[in-house]
Amino acid sequence: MRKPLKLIAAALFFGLFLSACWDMQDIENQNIVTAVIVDKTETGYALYIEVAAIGATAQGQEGAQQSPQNIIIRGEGETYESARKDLENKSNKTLFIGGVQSLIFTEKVAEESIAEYIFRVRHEPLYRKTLRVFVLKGDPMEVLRSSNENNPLIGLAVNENIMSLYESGYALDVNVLDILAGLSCPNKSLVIPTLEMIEDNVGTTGYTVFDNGKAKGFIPAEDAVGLLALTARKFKTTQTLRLRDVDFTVELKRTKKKIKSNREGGGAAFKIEVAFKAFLMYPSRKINVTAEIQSELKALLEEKMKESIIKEIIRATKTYETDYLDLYDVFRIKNAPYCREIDWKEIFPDIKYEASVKVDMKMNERIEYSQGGS
Amino acid sequence: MSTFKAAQHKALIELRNKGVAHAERTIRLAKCEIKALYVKQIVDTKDLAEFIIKPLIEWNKNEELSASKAVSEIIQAYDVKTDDDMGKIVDYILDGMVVLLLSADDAYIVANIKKVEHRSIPKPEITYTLRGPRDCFTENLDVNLSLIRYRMKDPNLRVDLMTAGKRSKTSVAVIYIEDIANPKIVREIKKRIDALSVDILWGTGELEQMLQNSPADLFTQFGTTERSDWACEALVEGKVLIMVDGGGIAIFLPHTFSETMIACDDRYDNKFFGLFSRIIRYLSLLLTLCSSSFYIAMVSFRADILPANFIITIAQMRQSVLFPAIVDVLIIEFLIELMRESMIRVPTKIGPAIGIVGAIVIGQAAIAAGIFSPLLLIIAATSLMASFAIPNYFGSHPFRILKFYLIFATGILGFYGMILALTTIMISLVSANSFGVPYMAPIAPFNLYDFVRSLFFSRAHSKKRMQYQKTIDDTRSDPPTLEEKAKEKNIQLREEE
Amino acid sequence: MSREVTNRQLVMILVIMLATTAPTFLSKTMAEATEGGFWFAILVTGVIFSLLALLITLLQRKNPGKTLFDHAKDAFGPFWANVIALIYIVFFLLALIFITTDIVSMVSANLLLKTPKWFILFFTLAVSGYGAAKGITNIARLFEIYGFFALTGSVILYVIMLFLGDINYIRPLFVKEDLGRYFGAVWKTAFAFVGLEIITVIPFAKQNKKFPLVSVISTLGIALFYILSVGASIMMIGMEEIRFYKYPVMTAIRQIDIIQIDFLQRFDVVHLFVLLMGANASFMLTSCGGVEYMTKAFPKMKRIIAVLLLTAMAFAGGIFASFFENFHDIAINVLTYYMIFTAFIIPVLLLIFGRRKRNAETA
Repeated sequence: MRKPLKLIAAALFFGLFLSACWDMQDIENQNIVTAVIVDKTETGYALYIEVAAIGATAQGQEGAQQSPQNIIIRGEGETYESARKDLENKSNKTLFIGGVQSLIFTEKVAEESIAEYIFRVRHEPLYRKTLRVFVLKGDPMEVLRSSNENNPLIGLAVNENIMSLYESGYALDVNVLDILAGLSCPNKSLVIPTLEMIEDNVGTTGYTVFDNGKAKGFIPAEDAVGLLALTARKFKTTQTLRLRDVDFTVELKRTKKKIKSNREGGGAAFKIEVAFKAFLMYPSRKINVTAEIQSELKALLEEKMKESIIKEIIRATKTYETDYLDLYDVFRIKNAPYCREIDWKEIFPDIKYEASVKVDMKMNERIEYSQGGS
Repeated sequence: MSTFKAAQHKALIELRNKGVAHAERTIRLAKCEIKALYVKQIVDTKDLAEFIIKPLIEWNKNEELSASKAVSEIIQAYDVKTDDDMGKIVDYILDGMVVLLLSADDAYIVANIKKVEHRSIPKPEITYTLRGPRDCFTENLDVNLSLIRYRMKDPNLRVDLMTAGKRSKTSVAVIYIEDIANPKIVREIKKRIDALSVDILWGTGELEQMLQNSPADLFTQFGTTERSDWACEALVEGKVLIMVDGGGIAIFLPHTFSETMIACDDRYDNKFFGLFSRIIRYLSLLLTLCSSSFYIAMVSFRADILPANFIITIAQMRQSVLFPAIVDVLIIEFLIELMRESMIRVPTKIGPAIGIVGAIVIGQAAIAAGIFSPLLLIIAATSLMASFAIPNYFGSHPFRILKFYLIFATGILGFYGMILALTTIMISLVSANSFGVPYMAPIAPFNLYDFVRSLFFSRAHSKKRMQYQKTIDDTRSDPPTLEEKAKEKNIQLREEE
Repeated sequence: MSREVTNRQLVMILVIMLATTAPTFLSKTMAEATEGGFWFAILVTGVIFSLLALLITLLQRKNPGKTLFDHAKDAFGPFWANVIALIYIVFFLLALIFITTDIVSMVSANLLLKTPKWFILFFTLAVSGYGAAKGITNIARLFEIYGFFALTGSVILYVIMLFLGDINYIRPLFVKEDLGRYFGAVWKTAFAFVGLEIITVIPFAKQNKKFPLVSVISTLGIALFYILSVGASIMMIGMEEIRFYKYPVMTAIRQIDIIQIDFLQRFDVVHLFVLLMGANASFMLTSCGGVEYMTKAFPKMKRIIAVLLLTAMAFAGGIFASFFENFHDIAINVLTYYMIFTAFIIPVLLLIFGRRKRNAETA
């Protein structure tokens, strides 16, 4: 009697084993999503996904690794959930969102609010919170169809583009977790890089200002020097200065950023000190770059950078009245108990500030600038 | 003419009745008759004629000859003794001895002029060496013992001969250095050999299975070697060496996991290179065990641990593959094991052809047919090569089996299943022991001195032997007396009755 | 079989037992309770528990080769010793149910989304039972190996997070107006140190006089480790945002993206291995603790039966727990209160009564 019981138990056990593997799904049986664009329609929302088209190698040359092209799928619905379901219905395979590199919101959604979708991303375990977020000015389909031989997958392309700009110090990099951290704290807001079609390619053209998940305005890239100088983790810029009828191209790197805050009256005051290291790259024509010229360039640069920083503070306090410069954090660190009593949004537009900029001018060590000339 | 005594007659009749195919040579002397009994296939008949029969015939004096007199004054063979137990005659003859019954004495003479055909000393086949000596053991125990004696001239070297197998009566040599080896281990192994109840014993492989702590043990408690220098190294480290007549591999104990990763050549190489090699071996073990399961976990469960472009590349590679990842892995692992088995048994002449067929079939054709992806083939091939990097060939066998266990576990529960399976393997490893020595020593329980030595060996800078062996004398300098050392270490030399 | 545990093994046991599961949710608890002053609350709790560890190890040292059960038998007699054993059996059973269901929930939420929890729990408990059957010495050896990897891996990951995160998230580090809050948070942090009771089943070797010092330093080390873990997690996610995650450390580690390393840029799998290896070892030890008390209280019970019984009860408990949404919070509260008996009251009573009995015998 014991032996049949043991056999039955063993059979059930192994049957359980073999019928298991609920979570096993091979990667080639899923659609790898590389970009998601969230758009608003008249009746609800539309979700565009870019899927890496795999399967060309079967017909391709033996041994050749072909770049995958993209497949665009559009899902629509009254809510995000129904739009997602529509996407899944239209997709021939399960969607694998672990590969999403870029999350893009159109202007319409940005103006309404991106908070709800961001909260969806928080809830979804497969979505990586490091995926980069952008705002799109233009038609999603046009952007997704702009993929070419150099940029076969738009999701990867824009991600790599912003990464390289960020690593060089030329751009801000915003991911989902940054936005979630900002949404969790009502006193803080943020800016998100904005994409646009530039000729036939997608590029970053500026930053959209968000307050509590809603778009408030736009800062063009060429006007965002002050913004980057104050908020970017790494900052680098190239400036052209006119002096004595010569255009000097100078590269600046931020070396120090110190913001001190204290209470003043019923509000806050900030003292901002920023230091840069500047490298003279080249003048527009032959000129002997003397010490006098160097010091004049330095003064010009200091003034220009200070102007940019102050302009940005004015924009944040007066134009948008929202703190996307992280000044709240600086104030809170020093005045934590006081911060619990005040409404930062009321105080912020009237903050007092003082900015000072120092530039350490250096010449390019490989070039001899004072070789003679007019 | 003297006649044989009743007991001798009885022994002769018994011998003939048993049907033991033996030869008899009668020598009639003036006052004595001698009967030589032997099995001619296993006796050196030339030595028999030259050193036993001839001297006896030439002696032929008119007096009764006793066995002891014959041994001390007449017989010129080098290994001779007397005995009076008639029951042992058959055993002696079957063991290759010549038994000389003397009519004038109750005792008989036993002369060892065994001659068994055996191979000359071969080169190593399992453990290749670049710098080390290349003499290996053969099937003949005497030859093997001579190789050991040639290297180890220590007066404390003990060779205890035992017998195992009721029918085969195989000689088993238990070899150790008396003032180094832990006497508890020596006693234990002898006890286990004595307790064996089998009819035949063919080699150390079988003996190993019989002497293990438990029949269910997957990890071997014995080290193996075909090389005499490595066997001597084991003796000097305080291990007990066991050799079986008829088997060309010696086993030694105690044996730990870290010793599986030590190759013979490590002693002859630069210590830094030895460290480098050992690290490579540990990584190889990890590769052997985990690479296929990691592939399944990555492809079928958590592809998002890789960046997006890698995920896309892998998906492209697998696009035309017919089977799910786990089935793919099982098929290729099966094919590799099949190839391994066939390569061992294939005749030498067609071995290379099989290799080519295997490479073409599994490699090119399988990928073209969509059975495997190129990445899986690389992983499987790497895993195969990694398994060969483990110096102890027999020590790698459990990991070849456990690889499949890991594959199944990963197939069911992904990374978590892999971790659960690894945990069970680890707990099995740490709880195993080889005759009282923890199998994972010196890693767990950790001993810094032993751990450094297991990675980084230099005899000149290792003043002491491995501490986990608990040897009597753990120093490499001039040893004190056995009793002194045993007293210092509080070790009981002899078992209390 | 020798049941002794070396100092190194004890350190690994304490560190991994406590430092594997607690950090997964501790950062959320601390962010809610103390904000930037989490280090203060954890340090204070660490000091308190190091004193408790000292208390237990002093008790063990007085009677080398014996466990707490043996002390209890000597001090109070077999009946009360069995009662104490039952208290500890229930404690270890509850602790086992809690940590297994917690880790299973985490695995289910992050790794195996479709696999039923009972299936994962079944295999988890099967493995922990297998380890428990091997005994405390072998599990201690496993901790020696796992501990090294788990500790090194965790520390490296947290240090990377310190570099990648934003320090402003954890500042200000101390606000004197919030001192009351910090002390109040000690109670919430206490749960992170549940597991010290495992020392009660480890017999001390006679010559191991450093055991008490080692356990104190280990407990303080664990406190520092928690500070590192909580700080790193908050720096990655943000003080406000972290409150939305049940297992913030997982989320924080998924943030690590070091492009320069290319295909290894995502560190999830390293953390997974490190966390789950340590967790598995902890399950085994907790299970072993319960089994040890069961075999002591019921000497006629075979070890394998005790293992099967405990594992079956833990499985049933785990299934039962899945019906409660807030089981996690209930269990934390229950175990924290229970710990007052197992880590403080009982050892103190044994120390007092044991000393009285020794004095009486000497007199």
